[in-house]
Amino acid sequence: MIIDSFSSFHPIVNFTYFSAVLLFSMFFMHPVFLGISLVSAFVYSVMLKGKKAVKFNILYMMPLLLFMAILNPAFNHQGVTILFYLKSGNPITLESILFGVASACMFVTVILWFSCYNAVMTSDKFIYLFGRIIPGLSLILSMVLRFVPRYTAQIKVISNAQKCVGRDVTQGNVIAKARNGIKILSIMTTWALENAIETGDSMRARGYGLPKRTSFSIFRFDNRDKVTFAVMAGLIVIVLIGAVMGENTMRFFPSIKTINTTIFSLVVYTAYFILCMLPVIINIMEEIKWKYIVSRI
Amino acid sequence: MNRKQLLTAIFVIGLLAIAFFCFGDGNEVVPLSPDDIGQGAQTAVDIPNYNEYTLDDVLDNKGNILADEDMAKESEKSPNMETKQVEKINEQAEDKPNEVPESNKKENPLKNETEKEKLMDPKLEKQKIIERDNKNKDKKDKYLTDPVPEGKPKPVEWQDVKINYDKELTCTLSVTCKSILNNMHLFNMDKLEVLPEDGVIYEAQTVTFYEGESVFDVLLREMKKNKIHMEFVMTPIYNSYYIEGINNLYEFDCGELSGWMYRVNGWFPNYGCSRYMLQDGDVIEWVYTCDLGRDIGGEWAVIGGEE
Repeated sequence: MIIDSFSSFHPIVNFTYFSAVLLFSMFFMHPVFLGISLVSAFVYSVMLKGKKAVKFNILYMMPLLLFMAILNPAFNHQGVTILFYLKSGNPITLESILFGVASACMFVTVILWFSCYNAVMTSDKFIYLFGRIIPGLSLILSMVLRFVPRYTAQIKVISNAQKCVGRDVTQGNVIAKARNGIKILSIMTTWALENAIETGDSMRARGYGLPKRTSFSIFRFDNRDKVTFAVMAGLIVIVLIGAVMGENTMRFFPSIKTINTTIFSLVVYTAYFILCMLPVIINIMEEIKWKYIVSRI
Repeated sequence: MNRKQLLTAIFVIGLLAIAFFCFGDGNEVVPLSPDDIGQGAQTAVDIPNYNEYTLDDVLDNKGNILADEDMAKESEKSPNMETKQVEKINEQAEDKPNEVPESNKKENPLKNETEKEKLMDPKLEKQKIIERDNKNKDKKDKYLTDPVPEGKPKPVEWQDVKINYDKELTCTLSVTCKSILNNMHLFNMDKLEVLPEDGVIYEAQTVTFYEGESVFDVLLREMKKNKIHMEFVMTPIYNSYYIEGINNLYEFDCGELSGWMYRVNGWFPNYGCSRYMLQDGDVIEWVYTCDLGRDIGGEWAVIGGEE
């Protein structure tokens, strides 16, 4: 596992990168674009989280991908190439199967990108970016994004406390277990509501959202950020031009059709590849630089 | 600051209003030429015996689904008669526009009606339709079907019918989408390659079916046989299959009021195609509408007609 130096960039760079990549992988259904996005999301998530990510990707994402791919042709019967008929009489078409595969890829890619986003864009970065523009919403968002890990931790605490008085979900007969479980859930809900209000109150007490307040973390937009941001903006513009020219989409229904691959489309593909791989490239470059410096000592 | 916000709000509202008035309508539906609509209507008018025949047949079927041998012989003869008559009508329809185009227009009240509808406020029209629908509530059957006019076959639930595979009958089937050709400005251009140039997907031809089968059964079998794509879905509330698309031409592909409708012997039934039990010699036409049936003369089946 390499130390992620992309996380140390200015939050604006991180946020622009993730919003661009997420939006692009949501809207571009071209197989080349899907492939590029899927591969780079996979590589970056492994780079960020190591073995855990590999396990998660294979255990959960692969079945999800297969399930989504099968689900589409079961309900969607458009397309000119009829492969065979269902028992009900509706046709299964090649186009609907391919569309199912493509949309499943897109789905998994977006989930992977979000897992990377959560690792890189911590809540202090998010608050730094949006704390002054939309204070209320950014506080709510940063709280909501923390809900799941926070609640699982809190439920463990409550359940341990209940175990001490013999009222955990693992104790007693079935009815007692159910009652204890509901009790734990009720404690949890009360705590969650109270905690949210407390957080809001304490933020207000410290003058959150008032003008001329500084943030918890201070970031500087230095030369490194400027160069990366410029490169990223250039790549995004190239990809967007490709989108306007219709290079990035593919028509699935009624028949599959794409624009012919030209030199320009190859340019767009490489631009998209570099854009998606940007953090990986930065990390590897930093790593090489570090090794070089270490070797000179 | 406040004034700025107010001005922005007014500006945005103004923009929206301009957009609404400039781009709001461009979706006017061009109805099919009166001759094409008239064709169906004439078949119903010109063959008065025909309706009586089907009615008798239905009555017979109530008592005994297996008809007499004589009946079978009769029905064997009639399809030939039918096709001849249809051919004659086709000839007439082809001749008419050249000879008396004006009288044709007068005969057909449809054009006047559509003009009236354009003048009427769409909201008012909608209210009227809903009111009329509410009045009819008690008269509707279990599957929300308005009473069928006299002389037309009543809906038959496909669950109750036992198909008699020993008895082969014939009917005429055609699938056309000529209405799209008149409304290319509404058409989903991605589907251009599956749109036939003359608007005929399945040319009218005589097909065999088994006694007790519905319009849906025949369509499904013929589309499968001819490798024409078709998608449908069961709608339990109407107890019928709904045809979503034929030949990859789907509902809503030609404007938001478009979709497939069917016509049997020149009449658009006001119930689903699984509930229409076929009689020997029936003429089934599947037609694509771009305007809830108004452009092909089948508005009664969808929104009810004014009396």
